[in-house]
Amino acid sequence: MKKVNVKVILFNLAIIASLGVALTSGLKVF
Amino acid sequence: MVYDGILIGLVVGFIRAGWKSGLIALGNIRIKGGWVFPLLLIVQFGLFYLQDYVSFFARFNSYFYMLVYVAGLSLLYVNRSYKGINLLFIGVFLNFLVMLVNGGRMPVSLEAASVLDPHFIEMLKNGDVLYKHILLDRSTRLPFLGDIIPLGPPYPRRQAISIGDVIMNIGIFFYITSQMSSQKTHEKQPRTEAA
Repeated sequence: MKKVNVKVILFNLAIIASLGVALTSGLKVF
Repeated sequence: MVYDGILIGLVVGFIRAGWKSGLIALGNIRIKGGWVFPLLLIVQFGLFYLQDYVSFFARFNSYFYMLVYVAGLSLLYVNRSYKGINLLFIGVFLNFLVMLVNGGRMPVSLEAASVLDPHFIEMLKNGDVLYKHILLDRSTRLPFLGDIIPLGPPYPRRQAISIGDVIMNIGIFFYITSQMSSQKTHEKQPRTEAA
């Protein structure tokens, strides 16, 4: 079993979240 | 709404894959050129900030927003082989399309905006550009693709969203759940292409 790399997980989640926020059209997304 | 597809995808992904396998899978998520997305977000924030201070940006920001969307769509196209990305692409493209035919701004219906703070509604009525939004009126093209869906109680936040946003979230959900249940987690491979 591979080790869990928290930094990489957070980085990947940040990428997905930024993708969603940058390309959404929703007003008041935050 | 933008985080809903992500959060629900994570919850379902962990239920399906298990806690540890799910975490390992999250570490192996693959998005080609993924590092560009945070950059696009920073650019948007920069444009948003500058439009209040520099007339050039106030005038031409809509074109820059369109460029951001073109860059985002291009990256999604490159990643189209991953499950869910096609839906994500369609959702973003619908948002892009309605903005493109409306001068680079997202039209928001007054009815949908009524769930928001009255301050937002006042700004829209005054014709002010709010982030990348304008008020939807008779001259709006493809109005059904604008922010016409109000979200309010019992939904925990108040937002106005579009059909494209809904499709985007479904795409993100499928992308995350498929990545988390991917058998690749047991293979030896580089950390992530996004890193």
